[in-house]
Amino acid sequence: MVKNEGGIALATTLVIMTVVSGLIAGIVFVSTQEQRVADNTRNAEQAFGAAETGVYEVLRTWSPTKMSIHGLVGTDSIPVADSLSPQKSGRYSGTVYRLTNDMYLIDVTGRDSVGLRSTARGDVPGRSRQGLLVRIRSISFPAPPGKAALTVGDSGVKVNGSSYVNGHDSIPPTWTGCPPPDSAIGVLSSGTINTKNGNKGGIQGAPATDSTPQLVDSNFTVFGGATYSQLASAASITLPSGSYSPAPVVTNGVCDVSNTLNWGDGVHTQPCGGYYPIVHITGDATVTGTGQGILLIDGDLNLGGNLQWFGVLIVQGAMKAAGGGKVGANVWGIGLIRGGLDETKINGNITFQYSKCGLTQALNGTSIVSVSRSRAWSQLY
Amino acid sequence: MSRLSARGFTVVELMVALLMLGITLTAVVQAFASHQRTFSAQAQRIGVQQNLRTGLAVLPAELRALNAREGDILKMSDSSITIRALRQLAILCQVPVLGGASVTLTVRQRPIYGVPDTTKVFDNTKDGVYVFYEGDESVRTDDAWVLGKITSAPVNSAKCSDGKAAYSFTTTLTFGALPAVTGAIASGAPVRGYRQITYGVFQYTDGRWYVGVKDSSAAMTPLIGPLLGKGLKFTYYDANNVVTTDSSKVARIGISLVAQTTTVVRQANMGSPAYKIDSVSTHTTLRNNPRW
Repeated sequence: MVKNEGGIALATTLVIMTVVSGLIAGIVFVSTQEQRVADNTRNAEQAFGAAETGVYEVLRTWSPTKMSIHGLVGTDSIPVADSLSPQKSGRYSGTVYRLTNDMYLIDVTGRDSVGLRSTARGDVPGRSRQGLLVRIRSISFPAPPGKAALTVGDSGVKVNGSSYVNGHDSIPPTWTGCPPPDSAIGVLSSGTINTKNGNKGGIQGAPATDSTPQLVDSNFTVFGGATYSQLASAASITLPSGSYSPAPVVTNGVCDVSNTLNWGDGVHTQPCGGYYPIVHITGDATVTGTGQGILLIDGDLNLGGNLQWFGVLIVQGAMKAAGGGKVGANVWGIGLIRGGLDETKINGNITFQYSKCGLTQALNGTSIVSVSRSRAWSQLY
Repeated sequence: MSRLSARGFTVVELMVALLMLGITLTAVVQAFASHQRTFSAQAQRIGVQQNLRTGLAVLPAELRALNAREGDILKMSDSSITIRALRQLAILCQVPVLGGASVTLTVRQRPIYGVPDTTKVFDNTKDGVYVFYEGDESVRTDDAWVLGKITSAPVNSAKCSDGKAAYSFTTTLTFGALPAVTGAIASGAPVRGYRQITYGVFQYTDGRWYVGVKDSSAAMTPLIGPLLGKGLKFTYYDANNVVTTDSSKVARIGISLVAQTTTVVRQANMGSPAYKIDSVSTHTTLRNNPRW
């Protein structure tokens, strides 16, 4: 039997519990909100860091060989694979666009690692998107001694037969996107310049020849911001002494840059038209065929047959250029022949044609990049 | 039912019970009120912190994209700053013809950044542009950004030289000493759109002080606040970490914010209600100053 049914203890307790529960619920709600806001702030900061790291990782691991074979923005883009940031605080991925011959845009989106892990509770990772404009850091050939179609050291040069050296700028026939033309010296040498021909144009330029004592040995080993050794160590292709006849190699529709006899396509027929390797031959070489980029030869160069070279040719020894046949051998860009003990001889159907476009595009295609001079960074939306 | 169990309570018992109930309820109400004040105070504090976080998110994000050496800071003081704030990044897809008074810029519709849709590309009444000037491709020393004013609304039916969709608009570009020759600005050159923005302290209609934002044509609108007095302070440092008043030498900007609650807060341990304040300070390095 219930002795007393008139108490209010239960009701009072319920009221108190309700009030206290409400207060606790309120505090938990506010605390949860505050924690989520703090989480979001932290995630956003981590995502920002991941994006920034990603941008500079792309820059750090830049491969001129892989990047320069891509076409311009609108027709091509270079994906940045989804990767864990080095600090493991997030992931990044994105795209690199080649804007011009010498400028790229790195577009990277970073995501924080905490948000990525918490997708089970419905969280969305923080995101940050950043862009960086980077520009090819070209190797330069400053004056003095100035640019020339052919620069030869103390041992001098003999231009003979039907050979032709032209310092007036010329664009390779199938090339586009070239800078405004300028002019260069035909033959520049600190030694004797012998011209015995007259069958063809001989030597032309502004001026045609220049024998200058200002030309010193270091002009064949130091090129603005880079040395011959640095270029050689950055070579895409290194070969021993020998005879080589390179030609573009395309495998499954893609330029096969793993083939050491693929030195690019100087006619600019895709897909090897954008491939400009640095080719380093560690001794004497005999070269025919076709290619583009920077050709470094530690020894003497025997140039003949129908070589079609677009870009920069640097020879630490002497050069013997002969023959050429009906097709002729052509070098578009500039040639630097240190000479050594032997006189450089150019004979037969061979043309050295100064080409600012050939020079610029070869340097752009082979050089490393650095952050653009100003206004390079962007927060992208 | 026995008589004993049905006899009820005496007056004294009832009075004692009512007194105890009163004491209990008073305690509960006081506890509730105290918790309510604490809850309200916490919510207000959180509001202040949210405000400060907003400040930390917005101001450094705007300021770090500046190039002070080349004119992005138009006016600056310790309580306000007027800048050319980056808004869009686009890519030219036709070589602009230079040499005339007006230069038509044609930019790709994809990729383009900071453009929410085809109707909100560049606002020719508010936005300006910087266009990358290549000059001689074989050297970097002549690389520059040419300042431009947009003089026509963008047309979204234009075409790039490769046939892709483009936006087209006219500009007047200021070349200064740079030669304005066609080819000096290449197809593919980046175009950065900016809007003149002012961040500064102002007194809103409620009489309180706020960090406000406005573009060249609008009045200030509150962004962060209310502040404690004029609780925003910018400090400008040059590359040697020395405070500077020369806007072209700014390399780093210090931002200090002191915010307060929107209403007065009464807490158990406080004598009288008062505004609660909180503060934050940070520094932002300008990332787009020339590197050499």
